[in-house]
Amino acid sequence: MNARSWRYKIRVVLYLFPTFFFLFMFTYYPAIRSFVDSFFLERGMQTSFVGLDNYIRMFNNDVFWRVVRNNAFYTAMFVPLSMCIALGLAMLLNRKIAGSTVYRTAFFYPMIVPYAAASMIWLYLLIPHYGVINRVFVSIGLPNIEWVQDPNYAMWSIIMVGVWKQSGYFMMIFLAGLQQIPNSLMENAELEGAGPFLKFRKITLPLLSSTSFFVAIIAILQSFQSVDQVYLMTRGGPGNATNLMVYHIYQHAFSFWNFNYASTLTVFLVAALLAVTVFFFLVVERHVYYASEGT
Amino acid sequence: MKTAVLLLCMVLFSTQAFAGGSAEEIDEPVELRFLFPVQVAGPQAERMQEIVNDFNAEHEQIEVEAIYSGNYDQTVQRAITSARGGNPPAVAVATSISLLEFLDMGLIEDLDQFMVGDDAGYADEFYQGFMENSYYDGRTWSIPFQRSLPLLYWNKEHFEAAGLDPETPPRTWDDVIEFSDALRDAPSEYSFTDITEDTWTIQALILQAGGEYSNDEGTEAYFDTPEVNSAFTFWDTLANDMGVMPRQRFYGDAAQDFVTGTTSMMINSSGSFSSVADGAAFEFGVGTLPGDVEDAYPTGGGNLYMFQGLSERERDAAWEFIKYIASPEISAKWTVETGYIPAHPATYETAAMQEHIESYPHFADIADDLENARKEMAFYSNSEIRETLRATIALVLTGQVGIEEGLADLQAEVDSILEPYQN
Repeated sequence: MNARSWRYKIRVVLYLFPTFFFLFMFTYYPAIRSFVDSFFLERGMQTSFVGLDNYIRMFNNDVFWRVVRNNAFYTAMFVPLSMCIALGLAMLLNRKIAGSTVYRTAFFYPMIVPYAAASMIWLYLLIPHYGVINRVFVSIGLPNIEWVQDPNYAMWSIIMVGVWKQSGYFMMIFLAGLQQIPNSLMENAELEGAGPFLKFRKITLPLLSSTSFFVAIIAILQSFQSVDQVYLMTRGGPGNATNLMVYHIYQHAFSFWNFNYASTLTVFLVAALLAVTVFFFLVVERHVYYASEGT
Repeated sequence: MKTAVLLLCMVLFSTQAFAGGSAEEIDEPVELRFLFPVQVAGPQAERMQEIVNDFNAEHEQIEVEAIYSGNYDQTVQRAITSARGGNPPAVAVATSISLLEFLDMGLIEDLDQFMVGDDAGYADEFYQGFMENSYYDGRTWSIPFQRSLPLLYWNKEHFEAAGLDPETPPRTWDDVIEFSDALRDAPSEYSFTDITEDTWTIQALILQAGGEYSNDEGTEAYFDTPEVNSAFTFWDTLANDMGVMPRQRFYGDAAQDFVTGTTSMMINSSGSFSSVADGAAFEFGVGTLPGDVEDAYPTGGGNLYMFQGLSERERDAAWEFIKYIASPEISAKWTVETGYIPAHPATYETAAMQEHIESYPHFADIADDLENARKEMAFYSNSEIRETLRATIALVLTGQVGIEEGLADLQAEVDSILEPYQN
């Protein structure tokens, strides 16, 4: 018995080893290392312990706060916009209409395109004066807009690409959620004389709450991790108008070679994400309905 | 447990085996890794591979591996990360202004050690305007390779349409403003385009206004000055008071604007010449920049660096390679294929270059004007300072902050970045 349990334990360890190894190397170790590095400062070839200096520098830095505000704005726009569009599309495609598979594929398609390709295509469409979008704008009497060059529009361009890219994915999740809702509920409601708006508010939304909860968390995490379109479309400009957290970290780590400051920013980002996640699971989840509870 | 021990043994033995395999044997050719960037992807990488193949064929004892590593920023990133990880490239082409960052991290070799005997005075043969960014602390740290200069491009058809002489480009800032006003009659959206999304051509304006960006050591910045103010005012006048210049353009966008006739004049890198020549369906002129108080402009482009951590034999081979690709013959070949400006006067004497000048006479004008070339802006923490300057330009041109306030903020921020280097 003893020998068997030994062998059993070794087997468990061996099975877990590959996963643990990669998790440790590429997730836990870098996370721990970032945390430790944030208390040091490397100048030239010397590294010294500086306590909370990096954090003080971060909280006193105008660009940092600009980036935090930018990211908050991006999240506040990206999450509801992409969720509403996704839910709308999902409800349209949930009905039995001819060619719904074609539409589903079409709307899901942006998800498959890599961010890099999507950003380059959008950048091309958004070129001032001779880009397609501006040509259409000018031909119907609207002004030419310097989409990614004008600080008033640059962030919207970034948000637009993000929403375009992700809505299809969220739509698929909503579709799966919608198909879980029993038809009998809807038929009953109709017999009682409920209109479409009432059905949506009283049946669809509450029964979709677990799906929405999941999508909201994914969307929020994605909005904090957005970097591709920023890197390719605006490089954070003009004047840091579109600089988001992950791009800011990238700049400090691999462009300015301030690894320690980049680690400090990373610790802040991880803490912020943790706070959001905890808030969602402790506060928001109470209002979420899971199908298994009901039966 | 046995399995674990076995695994451990395997790991240990395999590393041992690898270490044994890489030990140098004198008969084997020296292997060198050479990182090079391509700003405009495609054929340039193939041309570079040909040059390296020729070198390898001529040198039995040296085997250079040419590694295309993205654009300048990515190449610098790759060189720095691999050097810091203990696996440095032998030679890399990086911007001339990467010098202080490399030095700060202690990554590169001082090249004066090789300029002895037959090679004594080697660096003195290059145009000194192109060498200025290579010197620091009385030593030579890089050899100029693919260099560029900002140039003025103008659309001759638009000049005619606006009643200007197509053969007479603007020579002063006042000319630029006057011509830009006249070019409102040309069939273009903008009269003048400058590279406002980078910090290279503003350096030309600062120099032309009689200013300077830094002390020689790159530890002090001079941004809050009347000269920098007049450089910013020049752009602000064109972009906002007159509305004849777009506020935000990078090299590629600007070149696109020019070849599509969206703008009539532009300042862009000499490196954009071939794409403009390929794309423009109209007659255009290329020449040196208009000036103000002074006629001056910064140099740009890439130099050859040798990295620390090589064996003596590798170092000698790397120096051999640097001399080969910086030689007038190879430099002429590279200029003809890419449009970069030769850094060695003898390059102009080669047959290949003479023939090239017949088709593209602006190369001869540039060679005559090189005494006006100045050191490019190079600070410690240069990337961060460039990014800060770039943000200030955008804030000013988009009217989010006034010039005086913007420059005061910029100076304060740059001072705080440089503070650790000021002793």
